Amino acid sequence: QTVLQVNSSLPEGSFAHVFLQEYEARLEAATDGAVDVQIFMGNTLGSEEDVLQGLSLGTHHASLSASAIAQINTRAAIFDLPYLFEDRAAVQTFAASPAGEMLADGFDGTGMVLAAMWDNGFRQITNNVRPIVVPADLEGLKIRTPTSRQRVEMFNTLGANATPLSFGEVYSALDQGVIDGQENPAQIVDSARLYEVQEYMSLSNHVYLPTFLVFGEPYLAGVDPALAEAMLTVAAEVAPWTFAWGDTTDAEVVAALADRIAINEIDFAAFQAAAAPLYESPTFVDVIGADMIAATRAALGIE
Amino acid sequence: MFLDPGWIILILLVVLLIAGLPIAFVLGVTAAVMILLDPAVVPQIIGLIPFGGANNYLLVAALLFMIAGEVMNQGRIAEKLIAFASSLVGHIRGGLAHVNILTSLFFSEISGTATSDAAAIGSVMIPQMKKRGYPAAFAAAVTSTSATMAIIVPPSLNLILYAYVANASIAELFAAGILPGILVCGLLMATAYIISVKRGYPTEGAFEFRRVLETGRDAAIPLTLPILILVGILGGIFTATEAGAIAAFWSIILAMFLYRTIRLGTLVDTLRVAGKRSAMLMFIVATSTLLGWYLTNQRIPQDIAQAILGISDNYWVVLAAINIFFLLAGTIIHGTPAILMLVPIFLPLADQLGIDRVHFGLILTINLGIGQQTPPVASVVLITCAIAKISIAKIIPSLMWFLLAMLVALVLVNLFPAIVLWLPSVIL
Amino acid sequence: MTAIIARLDLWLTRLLDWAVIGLAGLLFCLLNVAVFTRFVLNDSVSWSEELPAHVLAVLTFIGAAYLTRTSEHLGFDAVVRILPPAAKRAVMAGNLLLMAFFGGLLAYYGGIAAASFGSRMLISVDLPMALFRYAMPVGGALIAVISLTRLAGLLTGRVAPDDLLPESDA
Ligand code: NA
Ligand code: NA
Repeated sequence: QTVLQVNSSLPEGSFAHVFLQEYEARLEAATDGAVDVQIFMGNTLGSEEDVLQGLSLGTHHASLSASAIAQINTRAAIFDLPYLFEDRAAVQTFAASPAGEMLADGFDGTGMVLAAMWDNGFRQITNNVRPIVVPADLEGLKIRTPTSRQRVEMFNTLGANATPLSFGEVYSALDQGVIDGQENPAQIVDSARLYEVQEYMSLSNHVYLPTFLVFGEPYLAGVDPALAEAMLTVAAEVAPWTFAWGDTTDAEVVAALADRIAINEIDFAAFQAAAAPLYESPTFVDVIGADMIAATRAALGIE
Repeated sequence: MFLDPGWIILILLVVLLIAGLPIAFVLGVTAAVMILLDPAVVPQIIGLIPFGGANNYLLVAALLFMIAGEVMNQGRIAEKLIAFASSLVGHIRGGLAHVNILTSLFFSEISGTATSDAAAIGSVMIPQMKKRGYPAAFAAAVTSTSATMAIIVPPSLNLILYAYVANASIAELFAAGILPGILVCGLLMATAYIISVKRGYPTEGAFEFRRVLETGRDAAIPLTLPILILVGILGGIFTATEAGAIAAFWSIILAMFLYRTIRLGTLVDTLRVAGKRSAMLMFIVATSTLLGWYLTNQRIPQDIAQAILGISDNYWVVLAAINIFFLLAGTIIHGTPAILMLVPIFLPLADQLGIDRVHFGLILTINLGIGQQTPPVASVVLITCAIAKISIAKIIPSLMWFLLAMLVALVLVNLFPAIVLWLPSVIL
Repeated sequence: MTAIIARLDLWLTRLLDWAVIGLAGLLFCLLNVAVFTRFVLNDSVSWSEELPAHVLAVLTFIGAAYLTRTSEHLGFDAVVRILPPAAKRAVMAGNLLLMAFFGGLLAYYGGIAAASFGSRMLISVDLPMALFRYAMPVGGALIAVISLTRLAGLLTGRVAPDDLLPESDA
């Protein structure tokens, strides 16, 4: 029996966990049990930095990672460009387009291959001051962001005061009023009980972040070719299911949150316009590459 | 059965430990041997995981609290706390014993390790107690057991480390440690009182409210620091690491400019001491992460949990078994290596039994606190015996009674989770 | 020959001493700057977590080499201390060999891993990850060299076993 250990930095019970369990069931069925999928959630087999490096060294088999992938393949930072994807259909259009291929090619020479992009979610802004409808509403708000230079610049450009902070501190920092708001998928607002310390959730969909299922080349080279093929094929087959499941679940989560936090829609076009300078900013262009941005715009039909 | 990796690891660990190999290497060599012998594991992992273990923001706090503790220690801050404690409890029968215990409670709000607590308070209190006619063994036993409060009452390096390994909230653990710490304090004082009445130990004059105010003013400055830190961490205003930075900075300001008890040269010494201690701790963290990686990879903790639950799945039986195991392990290992080795193995079990992770962390901490006091390895007792100039054998008749009090505290905390969980539920 | 080794040892010890003091001091300063910018200037620095964590890792492996030099690694030596001299010497020689073995593994595999990071940069600040990662192979190599030197001293009788016992408990 061939063991496939899949790491993820995301916690048990997250979207990623659900997807991996689906993948496990489908792959084990497709190979008649020849593959034993073992799922390790929450970085239990090493920090993300180590796991991604380990893929190329052969110490790790596969990883379902989110934003950290952009450290390895900078083209993946395309997902840091705000207001690019309006819905999950656009993400799938992108994945199937030449731009999606360019992204996958970006893994050449890194020692890992992209098996599939799966769902993760649109990020929404929550805060305690006012509903965010137009960019001016963000003015002066202290919004927590992950330690990402792109996300920091994005919120500062839109007029907010971006405050990088580790996620573990967010709940109490919001509770104490050290920060006014934060941005995360709705599911995190629910699971981390952020609604207890936040009044408004604005459906900003400012960034869509997928998860990337990547395999180490040394691992794939070491397993039976037919099984390696099955691992990649089933990963691709699961993708549409993850987007459908994510879409439905997201809607359910938002509906359930409506009792606990005031939810509003935003003026997407106004934010798109306000964020336009970012498409020229070196913080984004130098990292992602002008060609990648152009290809993505072409694929999504954005002028 | 003996070819099972779990058994090989256990045998290797025990043999290498008894052979006197430093603990960090015991863990690292064991992990490396297993990894090199296992054809399914790529050995390059040895070059990756130890760094990942040491690359840790949370544990920067340990270094900073060590700097703060060392500066407070060398800056003779303990003396101000002793004067304050004396004004509060000196009039009770066995006065200096109570002063010793209460000072430990105050100092434990500053220091994160029992050894620094025992060294700072013992070096002042033990000579004084001997002068007033207390037997050296009694003075050493009181100092040694009360120093345990340092790892129960926040800030606590044990709890910071546990938070990291168990992925639990530092703020919750810190809040959870306050009541058990006061419970231990009360039980130790009761024990000291009974012994003092029986043996006719003296009091330190009558209670005077004026003296409480006077000494309280002097103690207020060092005590506001831990309180500020505690409020900051519990309130989510700063991280434990930021709190450590503030503590280290503030203690240096106090000792260098307000009390003028240390100089620049001493400061370099404290950096050296704290840097070395931190490296010692972190190297154990690094190598234990490698062993932990192998255990996780082989799913051994889950297997052990299943095996134990196969014998009995009664909550109280398993909890009692865990406590007995911790107490036995604590006679040989404590502190960092104990937490790093025991928590990953027993946490799945605690989770399955439905024991709250914060509750479990305090149970573990009190067990390890007792372990610091029990030979053959008894780090805190060793320090107090050295200060009191007596042998370990001579302290045991006195130590017994105080350890009994701590066992009572342990049983109470096991039986009534509310002692641990009530305060965090109210203030967080 | 012995004089050269003694001089090298002296310089190495001094270097490690200043490295540990410097790294501890650097961490103290980094964290205080981070606190100052976040709470006083109200403008958080991006590297406040990632950079200190990496510096701590450097302190870990350089410090581990220093602790090997000063025999201050924490260990359980109650049994070794009561062994007869010949057995004590044999057990300690075995321990030094194991320490050299593990140090060598950290040096070899750590070197491979550090090199594999190539030009990958930290997320929050423009410093190469390899800069920090090389602390592990360097520390491991020093542990191996120090342990082997002592092993030679122990076997030739220049070093007494009692000089090498780890600090009993701290
Ligand atoms: Na404490
Ligand atoms: Na002990």
